[in-house]
Amino acid sequence: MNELIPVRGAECEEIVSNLYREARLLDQEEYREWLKMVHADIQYQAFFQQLRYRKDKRYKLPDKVYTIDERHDFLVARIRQFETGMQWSVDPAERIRRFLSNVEVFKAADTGNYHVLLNVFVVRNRRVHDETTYSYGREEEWVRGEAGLQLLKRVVSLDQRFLHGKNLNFFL
Amino acid sequence: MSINRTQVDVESLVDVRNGIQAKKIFWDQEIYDLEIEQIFGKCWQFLTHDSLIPNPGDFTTGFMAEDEVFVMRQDDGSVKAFLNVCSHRGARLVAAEAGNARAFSCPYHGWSYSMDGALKVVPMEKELYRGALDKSQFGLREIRVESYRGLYYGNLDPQAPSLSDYLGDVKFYLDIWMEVNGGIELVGPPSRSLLNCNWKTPAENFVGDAYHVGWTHVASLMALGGELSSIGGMEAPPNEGLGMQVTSRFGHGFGVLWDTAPAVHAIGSDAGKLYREWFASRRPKMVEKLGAQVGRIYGSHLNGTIFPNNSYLLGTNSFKLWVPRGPHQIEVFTWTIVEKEMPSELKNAIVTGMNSTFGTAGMLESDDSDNMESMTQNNRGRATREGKLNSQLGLGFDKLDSVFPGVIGQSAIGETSYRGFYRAYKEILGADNWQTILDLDPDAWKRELTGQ
Ligand code: FES
Ligand SMILES: [Fe+2]
Repeated sequence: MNELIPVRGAECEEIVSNLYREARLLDQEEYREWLKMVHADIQYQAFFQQLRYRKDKRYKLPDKVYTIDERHDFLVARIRQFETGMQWSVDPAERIRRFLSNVEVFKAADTGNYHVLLNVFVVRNRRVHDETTYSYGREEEWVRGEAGLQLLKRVVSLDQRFLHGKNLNFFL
Repeated sequence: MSINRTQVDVESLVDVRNGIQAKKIFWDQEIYDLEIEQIFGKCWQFLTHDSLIPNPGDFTTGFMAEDEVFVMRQDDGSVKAFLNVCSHRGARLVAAEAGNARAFSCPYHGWSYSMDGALKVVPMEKELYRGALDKSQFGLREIRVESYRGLYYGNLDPQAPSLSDYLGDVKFYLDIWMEVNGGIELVGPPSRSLLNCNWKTPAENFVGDAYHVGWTHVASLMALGGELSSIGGMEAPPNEGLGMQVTSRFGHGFGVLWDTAPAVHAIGSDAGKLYREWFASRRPKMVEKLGAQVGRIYGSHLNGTIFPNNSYLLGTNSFKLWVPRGPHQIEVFTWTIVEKEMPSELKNAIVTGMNSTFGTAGMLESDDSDNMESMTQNNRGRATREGKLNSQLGLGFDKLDSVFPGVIGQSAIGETSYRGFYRAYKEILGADNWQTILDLDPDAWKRELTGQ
């Protein structure tokens, strides 16, 4: 079992400001800059969970719906759609703000990678009247390399079972 | 006699021969109330699939329009559906979305029901009711259930035709994708999301709108590459050979884009690679079985709706239910369709690819949502909702075909299936019962649509 050691002080601060920077780049639609923070072997996932009775162990089918389970090439495709200049749904632009909190940083004893747990709150404004909010948790792994800190894995746990914000067509 | 029928002039809502509908069908509460009664009260609505409730006691919960229901596999292997409502004071009985159970107890006072819906246990029955409660009268309200190729549908009307007769002409085509190929599975649990639109806006879009694909989805198609990127931005003029449209008596319809089944699965992705290989190896077998013309349906992309609110994309493999929540809102349920005989590696890749394109975070799904919502919400305006909707694309060119059943639109891009959807919509909305519909000349609908 991979031991995770809590990270404190300047090292922790560095990771947190790295998360803030990532959120800012996304808020500002600096997708290519953001992509530099993403590892080539990225695993980028988000799931909903079906509601089940706590004691029911007899139903054998999975409870998670991975509404996003993507790798580097698909993330690039998502960016390309915006770069075409023909993505009508974000023209005029939508405004998204990501609020990050409850950040806990750990370091894996074997790999030296950072494991981060955090909560995220997102407010998305589009068109004139359309404001939606999202609250979810993230578990992720950052790796330090020549390109600086890069995101290797992100697993987003969506708390809403019934997504009110109509879609998740933005980077979480 | 309902109050609604005196308030809504059904005849004025749809002009079949001219391909016109009234905009207020997306807005008015009275029309919606009538739909709930006449359409959702009479038509088959999707519930679940065999693959989601494989064992006795397995259940899923869901909706038939605004009624909450649950569906349960019985010990003898049959499937029963019930309103998910306690017979005592009407609390919700089952709170989980799926699971396995032998019985359900209501969270309010503890009345318990067995798998077949019978009321079995009433807490302190002897002491409190003193023999005066006739439990046999207070079982759960059972719903008629029938299945097609493992897909279960429910119907609130005992007079309705069988599911098989209801599907009619589209069975010929669906069989190719759901039976001849070895059958399908539905992969759950579903995604669930909200759209502020009338339930008909996505239902009509899926039933037959290839027109918007190259425009609404231009950015996504360009980003993904693949067979459809050529129609992105509508640079290539649609030609007769690109596909066809099909509609049927009770409004089910679909569009075909020939030879493009895996089109939205990005070519470089796992799904894209594996799926293209799959079709290359499987289609020749289907052609052998069905002949070149019909066998070509397999491996082509189909976008369709089973009237009223169940849509699918075969090729992209998305399976949708648009559950109405009042006239201006729906809950979208999304499952993935896979073929039983696919290797699990391909099944998994298709689930991933479907979600990336038509799931809640799907690139193409998100493209559509603004349109669905504005088509609905604009009708807040009185002048707007007095207006008309146009579905005349291809009008006058719909035909019968000796090979393909139903009424056929000869080009890929057209609104044949819109016209068929709303022809049936009007007929079912305006009829007091199924008998009056079934008594009509069984070919009259074809003449209406082809203008003959
Ligand atoms: S409402 Fe269900 S037991 Fe009373
Ligand atoms: Fe679309």
